Amino acid sequence: MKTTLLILSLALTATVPATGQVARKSDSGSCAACHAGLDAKNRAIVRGYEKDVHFERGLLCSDCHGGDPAVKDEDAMDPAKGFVGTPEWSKIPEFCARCHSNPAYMRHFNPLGNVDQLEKYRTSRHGILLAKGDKKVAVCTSCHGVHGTLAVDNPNSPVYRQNIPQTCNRCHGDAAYMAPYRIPTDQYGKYARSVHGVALLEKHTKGAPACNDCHGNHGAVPPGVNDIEAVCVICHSINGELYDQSPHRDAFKAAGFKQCAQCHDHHLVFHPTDAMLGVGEGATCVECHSPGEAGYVAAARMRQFLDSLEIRQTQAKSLLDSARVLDMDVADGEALVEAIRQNLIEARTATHAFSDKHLAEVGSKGLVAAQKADSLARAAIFEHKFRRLGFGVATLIITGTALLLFLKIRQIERRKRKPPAR
Amino acid sequence: MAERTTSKAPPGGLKRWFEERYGLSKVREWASHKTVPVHRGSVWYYFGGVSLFLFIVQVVTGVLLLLYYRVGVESSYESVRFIITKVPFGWLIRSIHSWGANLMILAAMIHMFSVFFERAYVKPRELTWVSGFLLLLLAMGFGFSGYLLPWNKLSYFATKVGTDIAGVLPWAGGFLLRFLRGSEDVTGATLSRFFGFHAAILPAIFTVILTVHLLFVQVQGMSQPHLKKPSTKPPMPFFPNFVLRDLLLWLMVLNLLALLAVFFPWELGDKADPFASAPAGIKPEWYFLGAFAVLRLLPAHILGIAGDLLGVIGIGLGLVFWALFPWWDRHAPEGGRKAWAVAIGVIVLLSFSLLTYWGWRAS
Repeated sequence: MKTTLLILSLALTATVPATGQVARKSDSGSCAACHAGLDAKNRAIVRGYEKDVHFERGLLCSDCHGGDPAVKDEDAMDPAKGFVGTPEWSKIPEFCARCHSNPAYMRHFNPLGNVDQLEKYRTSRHGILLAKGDKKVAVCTSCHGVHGTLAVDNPNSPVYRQNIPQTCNRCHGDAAYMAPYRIPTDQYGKYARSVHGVALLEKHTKGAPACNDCHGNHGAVPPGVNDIEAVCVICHSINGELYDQSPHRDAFKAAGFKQCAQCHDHHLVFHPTDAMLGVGEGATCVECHSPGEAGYVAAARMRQFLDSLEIRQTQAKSLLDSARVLDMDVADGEALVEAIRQNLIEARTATHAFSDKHLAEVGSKGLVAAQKADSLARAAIFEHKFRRLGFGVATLIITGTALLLFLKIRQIERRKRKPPAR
Repeated sequence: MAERTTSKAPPGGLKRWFEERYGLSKVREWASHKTVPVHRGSVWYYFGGVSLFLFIVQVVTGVLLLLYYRVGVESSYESVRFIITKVPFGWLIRSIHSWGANLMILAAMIHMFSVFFERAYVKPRELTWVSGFLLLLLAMGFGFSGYLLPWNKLSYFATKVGTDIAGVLPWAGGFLLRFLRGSEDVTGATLSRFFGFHAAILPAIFTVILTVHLLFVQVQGMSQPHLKKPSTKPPMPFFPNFVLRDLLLWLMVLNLLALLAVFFPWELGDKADPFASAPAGIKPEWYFLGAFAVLRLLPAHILGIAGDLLGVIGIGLGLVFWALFPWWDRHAPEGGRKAWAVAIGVIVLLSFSLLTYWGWRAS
């Protein structure tokens, strides 16, 4: 329908001066008029462009491809009139950058938008390989699409946050395609199972990271061993600060360990559990620390502390629930349980300082709250028993008094019925 | 004879001091002559006393609650929570106050219907009936105003719905609504106002009418029902026989209150949030469920007139009719009662019970 309108507009506006939106529509119409009638590929281009964000913003075929759409047929595509046709694969970044790296021009569409995409792209692994003549690497259109490019915030766009992992996986998950680069192709599978992937792809959490949040988008590079922490602290800042102050920082650096990823992995970042800490089965600490070492002892103590805090939380909750079942008002206890829960989160974060003393210091608030909740619940349960006991005693006293009253009434009434002594 | 002389001797000490100033022997003399009729319906006499006892309980517990209750949107709920969790025996006082309010209205209703079916309202006790009925309405007013004071979710929305009903009246509806709420909506102004009604205005009016009501009972004595077969039993001395029996029942009621307070403590619920949506199951106290059911059962419009309006007017007229019943039922056959009066009583009692049940089920 839109195509028909575009073609019709050409006929209707043929005599209108080539200024303003109407004239610009006729310009597009002239390209579409011919290309829509060509082969399937050309028809798809015309149809696709109708949905394109560039078309929505008023850009027409000639704005990218040049030429003179006012002229009919092949003459419209005269190189002398600026026609550039389809750019070569290696030229696409520069082709797009004519506008996208032009701040003065882009300001009209998005005053706050970035215009450094090409600059970043050139520093990316993709850009570096492209410069070396590799024609398999991704260029702008590989991710954003072409003749149907959608805005980044359009849920159908391949670069919409939630679609990014799949978009990257189109190439990075193709073992045959990636074979020459000798890099793994299982990233998507791992990511999808990771805490990040589950949050983004299953729970649709807006803040959950996609590939580009760690690797960058236009400047996409795999972070080096020593840069992993810099990537993770973008979101996990407190953990990063604690790690920097910990003995692990220098030790990991010296050993060439992968910082955060050494314990948490990278694409397959599972939801961390307390099982990762300590010296038991599944603990990552024992991968480096052996029995007798100070680190081994500290790991065991930290795990023991977290376990005890969690047990105290469960006990306090259970006691409060018991009090609640007895219809006792323990609303203050709920605030304490929440305080323990918050403290447990803080304590788990504090493990990144890898110091049992620091952990005990941070978690002491939780232990105090647990103690208070425990006392409150026990007091409520005792109060419940006390109330019933008190009721029993009160009932005994009331019943006794009532009995005495009853006997007194009987005595009075008997005395009255008794005939007077002669 | 010597014993009698001893008992009549002038009292010494404190008794003498009072006797000289207030002539207490006259009061004792009056009390010794006061009697209570004894017949098969005598048991109903005790419900007046039970209502009075529960009122005294309400006054005592209410005054105790006042020591800690702080009226205000930011303090009412918090202070009630403080009372029930931190104040020693605060939970007991609050629970007894809440249960006592309900039992008092129940006892007063039983008292009213027993008076009705005993036909004790007839001449010369018309004003005793009217004053008693006013006391019941005031007790319900106590209940309505007191329900809001904890400022919890249920009470907030129930008050909103309850005061909305006043607003449907033509001419005076808008004024009445603003008078009750102190603003266009249920706000902190309503809370302060209801507290004023509950703790100052209603107690003052109630005390005056209660005094008048008790005075009428003392001056006119207790009504002897007009039975076809009059009781042959001699009357019972009011003091000490009836008073001791009253005390015995009051003790049992006190024990019942303690049982309810301990085993079914009155819940506080969540704090009122004017911006939250109305919770499911908002309902008024049980004694308003009948009126609530009438308003819910009526169609939106009847003959072009709003159903709510007709309902409110109907309930109002019904209350006036009930209050003036002694003037509708004046001349009964000797030793009997008019069939239509009994029928009306049965219909009122049954419809109130059924509508209350329906209102409870519907909410």
